Amino acid sequence: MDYMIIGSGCTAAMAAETLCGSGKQVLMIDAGLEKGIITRPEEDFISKRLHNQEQSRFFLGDELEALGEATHPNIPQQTAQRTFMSALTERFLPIGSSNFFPVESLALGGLGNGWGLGSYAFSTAELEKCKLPVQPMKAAYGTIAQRIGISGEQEDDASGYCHGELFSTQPSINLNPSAADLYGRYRKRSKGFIEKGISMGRPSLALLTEQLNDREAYGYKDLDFYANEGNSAYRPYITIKKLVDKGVLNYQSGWLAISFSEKEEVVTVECLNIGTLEKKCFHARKLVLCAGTLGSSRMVMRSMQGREKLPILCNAYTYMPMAYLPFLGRQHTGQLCGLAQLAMFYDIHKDHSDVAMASVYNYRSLLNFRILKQMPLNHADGRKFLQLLVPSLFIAGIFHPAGYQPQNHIQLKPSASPTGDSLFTNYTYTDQEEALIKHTEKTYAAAFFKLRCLVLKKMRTATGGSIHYAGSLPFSDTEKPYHISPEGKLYGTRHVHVADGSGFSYLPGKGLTLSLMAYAHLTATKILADG
Amino acid sequence: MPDTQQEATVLAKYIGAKEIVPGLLPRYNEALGRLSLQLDSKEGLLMQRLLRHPFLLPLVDGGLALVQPQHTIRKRLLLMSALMETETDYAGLFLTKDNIAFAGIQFLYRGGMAVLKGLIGACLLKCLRWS
Repeated sequence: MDYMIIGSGCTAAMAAETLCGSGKQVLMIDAGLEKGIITRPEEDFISKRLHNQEQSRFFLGDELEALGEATHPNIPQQTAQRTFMSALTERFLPIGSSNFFPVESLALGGLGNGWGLGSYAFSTAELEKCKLPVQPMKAAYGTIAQRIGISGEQEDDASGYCHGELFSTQPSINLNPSAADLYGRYRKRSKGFIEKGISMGRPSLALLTEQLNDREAYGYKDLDFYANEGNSAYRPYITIKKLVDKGVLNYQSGWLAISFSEKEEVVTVECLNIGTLEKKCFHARKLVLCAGTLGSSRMVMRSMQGREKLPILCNAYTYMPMAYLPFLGRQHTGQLCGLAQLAMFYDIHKDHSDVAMASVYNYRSLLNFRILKQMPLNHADGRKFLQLLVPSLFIAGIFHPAGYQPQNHIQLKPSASPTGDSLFTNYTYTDQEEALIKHTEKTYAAAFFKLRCLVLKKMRTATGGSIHYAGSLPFSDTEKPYHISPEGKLYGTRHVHVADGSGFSYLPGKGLTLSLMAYAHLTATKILADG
Repeated sequence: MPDTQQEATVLAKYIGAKEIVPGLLPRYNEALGRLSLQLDSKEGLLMQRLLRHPFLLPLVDGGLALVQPQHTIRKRLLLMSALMETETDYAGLFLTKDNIAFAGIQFLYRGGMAVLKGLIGACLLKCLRWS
């Protein structure tokens, strides 16, 4: 084999597409759990609710998975169709921590199966802080946008934060009625908001509103957390299955990559079968790690012993449920969508360098019982209360930017797990970070209040809940162990490259996935250029 | 299991069912086993009291929501609520099918009443040592 890719998430899919395009032999090693990917629901949410006698199995799961106790603090609201995403991780990717609870995946497509589809380009200032190459990244955004298809606005108050005209978009999805009303209210007052560094607009989403190859336009069935109609939402499995069907990618599932070694011109990867626990080695000329920051770091720490602790970056994440008062008790009408309706950006310095972004969602298709569970009300009154509240309910999810702090680290320690180790982690915020997060939360709450949204609660997820991790193997211009060269090569190796977020030296408070994919493509391009 | 059937009927009617549709009770029974929502002796006693005096349910449920939200009776109520919500005959109880008049006033009234019941229930649970 010429190239071996570890993982099958968004970065692996983009690296594979670039490498496979060269005509070289590409092998992908992946645990590859696959279950419950429903691509075409027969009916929309309301029809299903009113007429489908089997809906309980669909919404709650064959094993009532949607009602089970959450075993992970950062996966509290998973639908039955998505439980496969985090299956077996406790066994094969154990975490030891009292203050950091990352979410990982052993599924085909990885965490990309649950990606909210927000596709945001980093600004020049953000790329520089990440130590990413500015111009090549800007070009790579365009390539990825063409591949996956992105809908959004070309020109509104938020477009400079979404894509900065680096790529063209399909038209935005239709707004839900309450979101359209909220957006109209913002537009009437936009000048005052912009003066305070706050901009609102339509998000860029990896969701088709027009057909792209064999993928269909979004059909507004409002079942986005359960199915993927006509593959309108981009998921990495779409690329991987396409490459496998074309016969250009050798996809080996069932294998968890453990460590790598190099001998002469061959890289050997030792893998563990997740079913039988059998061990096996795979060989290639070059290795591309796309196992996610934590997955790749585990492999590097096992393979290059000597460093006990690695740094880590993770965005803090705040949920803000709020009632949009004009829509209290209003009937849900028309086509609805469960994905992000609006994006709000708080640019504290007004220079695109430290932006904290909020995605604004309506709440309906995840059903009322999930909210009832968290409300301090009795069930009978709570049900009636939610009939009034749900049509007006918005959830804002705020990503806060993150920089390195010396106390935050990851570390492998021996354990009785099948891999023989567990990842021990520590992640806390400094007083300064905590103050900035609180300031951002207050600023957002005040902004939404001006738009007649009553913030019901501010809920900070347990650390790790943003599912954005990076920075464990920082970029460096000079050769240092446990660092990555600007070309993506892992220092201390000859043919091992890292194409996920491990090198990013800063985490902007924005959706990360598009930048990860652009970087993976860029790294794959450099590997090809290198021969 | 006649006790569970009675319990399912009382809980469903408390949540808003006018009639019990066939299939709901066996599904509730099966789900209790699947989710291991067994009551211990103290919880069992409280459930028996509630089944004898269903008018106490909004108070005790609301009280538990404030002082012991993870109580097994709350979990059983949530289960029944989820089963009803995903049943065609009861879906209308959970959807907002028409515009609701004076929604702001109702919102405050409903919320206020629910909190009041919760506070009374919490006092009841504490005074009678039911939780």
